[in-house]
Amino acid sequence: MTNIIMFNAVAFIYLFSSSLYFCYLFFHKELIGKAATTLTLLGLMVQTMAYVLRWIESYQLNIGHSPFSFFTLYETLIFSCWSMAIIYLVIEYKYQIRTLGAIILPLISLGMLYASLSPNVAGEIEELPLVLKGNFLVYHVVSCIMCLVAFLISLVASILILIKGNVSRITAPLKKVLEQLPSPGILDDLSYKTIAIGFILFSIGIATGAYRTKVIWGSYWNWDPVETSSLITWLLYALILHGRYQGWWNMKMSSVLSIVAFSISIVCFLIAGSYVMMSGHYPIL
Amino acid sequence: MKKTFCSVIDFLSSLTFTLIILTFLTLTVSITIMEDEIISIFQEYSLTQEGTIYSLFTMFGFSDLYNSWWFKTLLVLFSINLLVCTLKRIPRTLKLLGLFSSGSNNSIPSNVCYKESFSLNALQQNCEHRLHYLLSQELSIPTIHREGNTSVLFSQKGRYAHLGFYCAHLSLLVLLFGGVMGSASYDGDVSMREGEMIDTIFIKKDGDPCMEKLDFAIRLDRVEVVSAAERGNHAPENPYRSTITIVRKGKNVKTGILEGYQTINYNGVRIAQSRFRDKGSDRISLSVTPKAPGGKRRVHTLGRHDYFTVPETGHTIRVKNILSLRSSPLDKKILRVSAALSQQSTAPLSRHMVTLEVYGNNNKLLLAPFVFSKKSRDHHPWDEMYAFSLVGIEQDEPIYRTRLKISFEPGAQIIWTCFYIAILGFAMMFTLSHRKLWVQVENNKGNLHITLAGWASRNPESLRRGLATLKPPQTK
Repeated sequence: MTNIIMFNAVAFIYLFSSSLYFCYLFFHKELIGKAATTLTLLGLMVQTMAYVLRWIESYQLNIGHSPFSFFTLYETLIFSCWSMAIIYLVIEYKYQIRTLGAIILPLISLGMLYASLSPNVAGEIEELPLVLKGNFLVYHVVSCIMCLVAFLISLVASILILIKGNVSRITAPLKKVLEQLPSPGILDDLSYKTIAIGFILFSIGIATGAYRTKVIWGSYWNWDPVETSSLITWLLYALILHGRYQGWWNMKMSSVLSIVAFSISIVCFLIAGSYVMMSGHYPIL
Repeated sequence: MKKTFCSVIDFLSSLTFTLIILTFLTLTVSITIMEDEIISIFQEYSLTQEGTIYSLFTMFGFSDLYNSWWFKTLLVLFSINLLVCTLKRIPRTLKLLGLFSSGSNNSIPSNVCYKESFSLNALQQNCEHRLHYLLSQELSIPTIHREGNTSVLFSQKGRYAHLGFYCAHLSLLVLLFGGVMGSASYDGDVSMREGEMIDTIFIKKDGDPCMEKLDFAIRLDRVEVVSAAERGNHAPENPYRSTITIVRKGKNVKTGILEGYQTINYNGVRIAQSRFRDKGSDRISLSVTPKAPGGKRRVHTLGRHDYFTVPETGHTIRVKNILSLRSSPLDKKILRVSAALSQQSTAPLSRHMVTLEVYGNNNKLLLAPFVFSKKSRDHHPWDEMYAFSLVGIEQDEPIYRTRLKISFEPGAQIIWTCFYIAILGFAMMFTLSHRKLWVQVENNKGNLHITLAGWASRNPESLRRGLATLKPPQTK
């Protein structure tokens, strides 16, 4: 399928772009930085076109479903990378900094390469089972994945804050590289904003998920592990945001909490995933 | 007394209290994921028999954490915290919105997050004109307050960002209230044949079977299978369509078609279809004689899930299941269980068994009798109220029947509206910022002394960065 070829090409575009960001981080040449940004934009455009093509091809196969249905691991991975690329480009534009690209673009290209090259991940378009059809599924999964991406960027910013806070213990060449990265103040601001955006998206994800549960299984909230673990994540991030507002957490503490919250959300995700696999409740993956 | 009251209100409205409650809620919800494992550990080590640990186990409601007293208390405290902190902020918010203006914007307050002074050689009038233009572009048209040789220009933007707090918190509070209203909700299934009309559904409330009488009746007019051609390639996998009519006081008030996930709503009751059947099923002739004075023997012809009311007692009797007992392992198991229940060592020889449900006048399940086609001489708990016997059983002709899901959720609309408002509130709180800017121009014998001051409700660092660029270079 042509869309898979395009997605494979995007993986290599992002890989090349991440190497350009690395060069920019070390050599700090404006031309290299602009080239990296342009290449990332190109990758994003090609990926968007590939999405449109996948949508068209699904109808040609008489399956006909939105590529944002995330029935397969492949679709989930490429959407995660797509949304991370969008969020990164917005960050680059708002903060006028490129050095974060040296960290975020490799993550994006890793995800795309895994989706493209791994034998465990199939890129073919599959028909959705009845339980996964409907527009609200798209809203639910899109918001959940985008919120995870936002929390991941917050995690990256938090880790960088902690590393920069311990610069004295780091060797000189690495110190020079770290100085190129944004200041702790900017990273803290970025961490807060991505948590806030992720929190809003997560709230939307929980609401749309509850609606879908009602339509399919007859009740909004069953306190099953999937819903309970998502509530735990929501409460954790609500705690972080309220604590920041109160002034309880300084920059370092906020970063540590962001890392802890993301780790717990991954554990919750794994608990939910194992329940999903065992219960047969959600026919995915 | 007043001091104590104020201290209590301050604590109940404080963010500290919010953080404590959120922490406990997070811990509780985390424990509930492991609830089954905790219970099995307790049972494995026989800790659920007696003793201190057992007392603690039951006291804290570990068998059902979400319905335990302390979880409900947490939710009540959470609601109180939301309400009190929201109400407490109203006067300050009204002041910030400018509804109760006290002229405090005529001078630079002490709690600003940025303040910088510098001098300029320029005409005051020109300077004020330029500042007026600058502030109009950045924020809003400034107000000017003059006193002697000092002018203060004040401008602000994003006052209504504070409403985000109210949207988010009040909607969460009403959402919790909507959840409480959900205790009046019900959700039940009813199986209907074409042409049949029902006005009662059988549900479970808090795990106990009971019945719910609707204030209208539902008539199933037609069930039809939708052809593949009509369905096309994207139709639901359950290809049937039910036409139902809502009847109230003998009049047809609404007719609708249910297909796939479509629903019909009437008076807050939601009707959807879940399954259909086109095969014949067993119908029994059940003889029922109430032991109440004046009780008459009546024979009813019923299928599975059919029900009738006994005039003498007012009870409703429903056929839960009709079992044809052959030689399958499940049937033998049923026979063993029923024999154990009737305290007989050998199961009666019987080809059919009917399980019934008797609902009392309070709509709750009173008895769960079972009747075998072969009469038994054993004494059962229901024998004092009714004498049941199976007179006959026959196979029904194939007829289309549908299973309807009927639900009533009074709080659902409230919860959904609050969700949308809460999300809007979060978006306002996290993306909008109320910014205030003061520029004080003091004319000191031709030398202008300018003070720039700013305040932001959110993200003061960004404001500081922005204001720092306003300061002209090489000024003192």
